[in-house]
Amino acid sequence: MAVRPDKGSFCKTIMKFVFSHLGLCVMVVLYCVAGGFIFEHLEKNNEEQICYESRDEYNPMAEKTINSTLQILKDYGGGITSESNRELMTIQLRSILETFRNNTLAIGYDGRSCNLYGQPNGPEYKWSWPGALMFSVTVISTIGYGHIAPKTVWGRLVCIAYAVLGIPLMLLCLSNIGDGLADIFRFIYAKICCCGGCRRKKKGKDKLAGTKISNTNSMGPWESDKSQIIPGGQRAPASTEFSNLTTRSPTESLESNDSKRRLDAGRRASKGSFGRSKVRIAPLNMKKTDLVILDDDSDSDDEDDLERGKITVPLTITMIVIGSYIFGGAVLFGLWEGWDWLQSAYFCFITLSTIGFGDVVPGTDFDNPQAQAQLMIGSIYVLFGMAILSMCFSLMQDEILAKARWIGQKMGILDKEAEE
Amino acid sequence: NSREKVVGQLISLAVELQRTERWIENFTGEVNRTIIDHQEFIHRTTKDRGWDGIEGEDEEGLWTFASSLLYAITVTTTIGYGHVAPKTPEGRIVTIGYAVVGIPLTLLCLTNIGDVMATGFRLLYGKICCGVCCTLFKPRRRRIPGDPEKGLAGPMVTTEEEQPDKPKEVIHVPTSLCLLLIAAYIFAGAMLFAMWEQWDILTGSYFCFITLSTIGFGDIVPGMDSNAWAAEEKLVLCALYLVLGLSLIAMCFNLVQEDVKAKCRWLGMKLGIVEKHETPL
Repeated sequence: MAVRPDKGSFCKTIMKFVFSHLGLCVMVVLYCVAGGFIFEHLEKNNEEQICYESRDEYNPMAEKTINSTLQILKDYGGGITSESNRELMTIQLRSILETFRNNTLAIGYDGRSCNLYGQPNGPEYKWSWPGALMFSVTVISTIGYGHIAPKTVWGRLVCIAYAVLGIPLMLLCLSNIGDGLADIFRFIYAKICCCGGCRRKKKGKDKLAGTKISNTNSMGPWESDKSQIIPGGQRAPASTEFSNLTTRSPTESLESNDSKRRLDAGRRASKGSFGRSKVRIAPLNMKKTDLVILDDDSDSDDEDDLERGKITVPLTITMIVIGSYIFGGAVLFGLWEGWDWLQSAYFCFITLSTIGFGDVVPGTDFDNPQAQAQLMIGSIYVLFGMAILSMCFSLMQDEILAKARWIGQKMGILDKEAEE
Repeated sequence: NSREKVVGQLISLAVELQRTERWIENFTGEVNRTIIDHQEFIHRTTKDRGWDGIEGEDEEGLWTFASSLLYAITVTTTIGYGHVAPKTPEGRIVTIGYAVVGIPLTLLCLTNIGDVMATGFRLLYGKICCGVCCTLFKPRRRRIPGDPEKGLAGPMVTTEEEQPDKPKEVIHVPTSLCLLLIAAYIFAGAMLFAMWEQWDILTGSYFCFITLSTIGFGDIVPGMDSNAWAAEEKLVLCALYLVLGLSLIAMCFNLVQEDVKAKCRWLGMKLGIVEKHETPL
């Protein structure tokens, strides 16, 4: 590296930054912003066009309905006072109104004044920049609300291309951030844990140094956690194994960008070559006594953590983090949008799980003057939520694997020998 | 029922105004206003509470078994079309619970299926490759039948163990083939749905892509025209297409994983981001 000229190393530094945590985040944000502009440009005119077309379809239909209503009433003329006539009239009027309703829904025109689009007293564009931004975010996070969707040919083609590029970018960014945030969280958790009266003596340096110890080849959790199978005394040999592993190069930030984390959370860790299975000793024999919280086992954790410097954040804590984010979002959107509590919580959950029905979306009540701001806050909420979810997945991964293995052994599905 | 109300309104209007002299002009204005109010009401209810105009015995029309099946699948695969979505509080709570259990289950299942299919595909590819390029692959041939067999026979875990031990044995399915496979699947689905639903090819492929990437807008969904021929079967077929497509994608993820990682590392080294001494890993 020393032989490279200054320009080269400057480029390299730039590249390093680009692919670092922050750089990827910035790239994702820029990608969303650009997407907002692109889709706004592509779809805004079409929205106005559709309004005009549907209005032109609706007005004659409404006229016809009114005329036929009047016709019926005229036909009955003076006989309107009699009961039987009124019954007949009711039936006819009912059928007219039913046709009217079906036609109205089919046409989909809601009475807005099309030529006032974008003006203060006119209807708001759905495809404004904040709306398009929200749309871009939902595309690359695969949420896909659908409350607005591209209708033009070019809009759809660009949407496909945007997704093909954006989804891997987002997954890459999320797995990157997930790791980083998980480390920070573990660090904070360790600090809090220690302040809570643990008896750790030599903690600090080991933890910080061992933040990126990943077990890469040939040792999936199946083998590396041999210590967990045999209760009691055999942790020592396993520990020495792991100390060998700690001498591997820790700078595996690229390998850990397994971009398909969500799909593969369980199985990938067991795949040989580049599985990100962190070598974590959370001895199962202790779990038998306390399935839930590991920080009570500070004594045994001490030795292992000294080896590797990694804290296991218990499952409940990560669940609480996710739950509180959903709750926070529910409170925020409930207050702002005037939804009831269940609807907001439903929205937050459906959004963060990337299901994204789109029946309940903030910022779509266009009578509300704050709709644009709501859309932006909604997009930010989604992005942060994805990052936090990624962090929680990263934290939960090994816990879940260990628990699943434990359950498998208990149920006799997994043989103890199979783990050799 | 708002329609009854409107009808009642019109009739009472007529009765009243008939007594006056120029009742037709007055009446026109009144009727106009009533109809406009009714239209606004329709739109408000449709927007807010998702009433889609179906009443009476047609109310079950939206939530038949087939469309509920599709709904359940879209929940667990996180596609989430939204063209049918729960409106009752109970429905929403149950959806949340259903998703919390179903999404990890589906992910697990897809990963597993992806593994199995990937192994089978590698085997197939290896055999075809051997058949095509006999001479080049002769030294490998003796061992290739052995590896996948061991991998398939034993527990899933052992396949991964063998790969690092004998790296030359691994059959690398090229990334381009996988991408081609996915594109072909999307195109095939597009043609099928275009034929069935009278969409054009672009709309069909747009739908297939949006579905398989689990984005799932829900603006176009096959089988929603309940009066069309075989609407229920279409929904079920759509669900099957979905599941098969996602398994295919899981398989392709499995197949290209190492290839992509190797390429990324190569790229990283070229760009100087990744240190060269990490290659042995």
